[in-house]
Amino acid sequence: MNPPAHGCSIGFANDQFEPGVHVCHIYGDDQEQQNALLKFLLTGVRGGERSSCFSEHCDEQAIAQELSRNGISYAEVSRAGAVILGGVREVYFESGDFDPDRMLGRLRGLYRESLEQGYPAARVIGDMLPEVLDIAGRTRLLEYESRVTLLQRECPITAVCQYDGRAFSGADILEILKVHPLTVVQGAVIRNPFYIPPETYLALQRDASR
Amino acid sequence: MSTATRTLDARVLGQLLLMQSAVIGLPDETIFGFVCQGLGELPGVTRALLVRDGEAAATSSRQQFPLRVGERPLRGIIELEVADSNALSPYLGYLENFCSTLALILEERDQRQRIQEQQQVLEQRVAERTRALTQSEARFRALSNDLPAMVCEYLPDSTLTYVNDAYCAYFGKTAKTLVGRRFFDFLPAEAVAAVRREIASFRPEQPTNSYKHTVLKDGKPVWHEWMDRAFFDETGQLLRIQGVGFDITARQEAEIELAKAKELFERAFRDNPSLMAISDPESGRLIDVNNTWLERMGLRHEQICGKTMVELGLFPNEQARRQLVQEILAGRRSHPVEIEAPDKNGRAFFGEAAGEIIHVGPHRFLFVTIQDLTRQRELRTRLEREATHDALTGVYNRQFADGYLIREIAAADRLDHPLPLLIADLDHFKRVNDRFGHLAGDSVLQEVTGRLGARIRQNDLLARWGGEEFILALPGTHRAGAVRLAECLRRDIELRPFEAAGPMTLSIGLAMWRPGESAAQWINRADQALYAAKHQGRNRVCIAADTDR
Repeated sequence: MNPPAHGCSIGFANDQFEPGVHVCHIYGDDQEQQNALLKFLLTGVRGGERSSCFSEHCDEQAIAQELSRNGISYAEVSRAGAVILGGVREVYFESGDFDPDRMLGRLRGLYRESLEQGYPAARVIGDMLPEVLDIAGRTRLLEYESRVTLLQRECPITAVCQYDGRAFSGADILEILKVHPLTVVQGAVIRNPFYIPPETYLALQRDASR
Repeated sequence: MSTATRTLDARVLGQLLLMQSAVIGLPDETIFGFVCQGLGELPGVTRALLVRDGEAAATSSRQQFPLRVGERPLRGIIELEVADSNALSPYLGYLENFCSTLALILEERDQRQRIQEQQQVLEQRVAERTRALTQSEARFRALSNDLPAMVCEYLPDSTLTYVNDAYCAYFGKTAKTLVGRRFFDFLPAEAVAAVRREIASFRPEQPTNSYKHTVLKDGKPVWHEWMDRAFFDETGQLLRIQGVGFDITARQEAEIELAKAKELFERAFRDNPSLMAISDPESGRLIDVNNTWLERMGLRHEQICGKTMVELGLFPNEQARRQLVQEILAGRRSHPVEIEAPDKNGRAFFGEAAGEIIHVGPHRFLFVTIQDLTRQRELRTRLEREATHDALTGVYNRQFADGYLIREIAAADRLDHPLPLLIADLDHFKRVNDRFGHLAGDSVLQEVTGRLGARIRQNDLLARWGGEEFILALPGTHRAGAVRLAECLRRDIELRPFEAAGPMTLSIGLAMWRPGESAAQWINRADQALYAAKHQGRNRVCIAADTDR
């Protein structure tokens, strides 16, 4: 008999998810973004998952306070490598460009290393900067997001992708939705009806580029 | 159109629902891009866009969904470019609902925006008002600290919430040690009771009070006067009281002294036996008079005050009054002014008025004292009369007659006018006394003087010379006139019997004064003439020798 699958909240409405979900979170203000980030990390640490955050708005002090309020020492988990913080530019735009292959390799490595270190699962929350559209273009971004879903079948790393509704256009947001199986609406994670599976989406992309 | 093309795809409905929910969290500028992009994914739709009202008409290849709340258009129309209307047709109803819901969301958002803007305006106003209040309070505190009066604010249980510098200095404590303390704890019990009464008397419609009480300061009782203002909440509950206080001990003591002085003045002024008045030196109008004045003159206060002493007939004229005032103002001693006026019984009132200027602050008043000399005057008149008049008959006596004759001799000598002298004597008067008694005799003498006096002029002399003998001097009357008058007098006695004594007769001696002759010589000659009249049988007039004028 197989052991029960690891299930864990990702901070939205206490819904339990198995590792490897890919969620799109479009936020309307900084507070919403920050709350989601803190809850995501808190639930991850509580669930024993290795939790990473790649954001330009990653307030280390706020994270420490949130964990401390819940009886967790940020210093300890940080020292143990259970919480990893990084800026968007240093993670996504390393060497000044946005390379989906490099990012996917980084996620894959993070996931495998986490499991090797004994974590039951790994999770990452990333707050994408709109300049990605200038650096790589919308197509490359959507390709990356679609391939994250593919990667998760092999390495079920939980991923929440945050997009600032004020910084991305409405059309971009809808396109971004298409490459996320789940999305957050009114604080709840729901199945995304705009979602196009990666095989289909990437094929459409290839057709369109021809 | 096949049935298959009309089948509803739940995924499409989910997309509409998702967009509907998602737009709530999207910023304004993102919504239409998001919605149009999403609607562009609908079956049979190639593109969706937002157009303004009336920019394009609906056709078979264009479906339009106005964004409206009721009849009110909102922002524009969602227009779909349709490639396959059959594919889209099952969703048209859902699309209309979606657009209606979107319009409501936008309307709600607009309203929220307006509310936020109004809230911002309100917050700004509140901030400005708070700032102004803070400044105002700071100014109030600064002002209150500059005031010499004690200023405090306290709760109904007397807990101090604010004290100014003067309050602290007065009690020799700091604001830190006073604020938070109940002043009932350091006031004497009587003062606490007084303040409690004042606090209990406050009403929203009567929020101010003024009261006095004593407190102990350095072991001595001192007087405080407080003016308090109470503040209530909207239900009428007393919240706090603001007080402004003064140490009025000096004033209170001065008031006691003033009351004493006033009582003293009242006694010295109101009940002084002299008539006293206070008037305006310029207009002369009386401001106040004392009780003696009112009593003596039989007038009421209002009948006197506002009038001048000239109008009341106490002063001869306005010029004299002004002159007196000028003399007093110049610092010269004013001579008492004699006053004569009728009193309440119409009898003559005599007085002597003296004035003095009194300065009260910037004002000056004329203080008039009238010494009532009526009784002295009457006594003097009576004494004078007794000295010069015969007590029984009321005519002049011999003493007065002596002086009169000397004066008239001097006048006749100076003016060279005739001066006759008559000495008249009742014949056999002793018999009257013997027969009818002395009272009858007195009565006869009185009637004789009445008859003689009725015949002579105002300036002529009629005096009782002694016993039943009278002397008459008729200055300026010639011998013939004097003889004629003497005869008239004699006949009047002879022809009109006396009620008390019956018929009587009168003998008269007449002598005209001769230049260089003394009074005694002249009288003697007249007396000789009388003797002659007696000797010749009485009831006659005899003229002295050498009486040729």
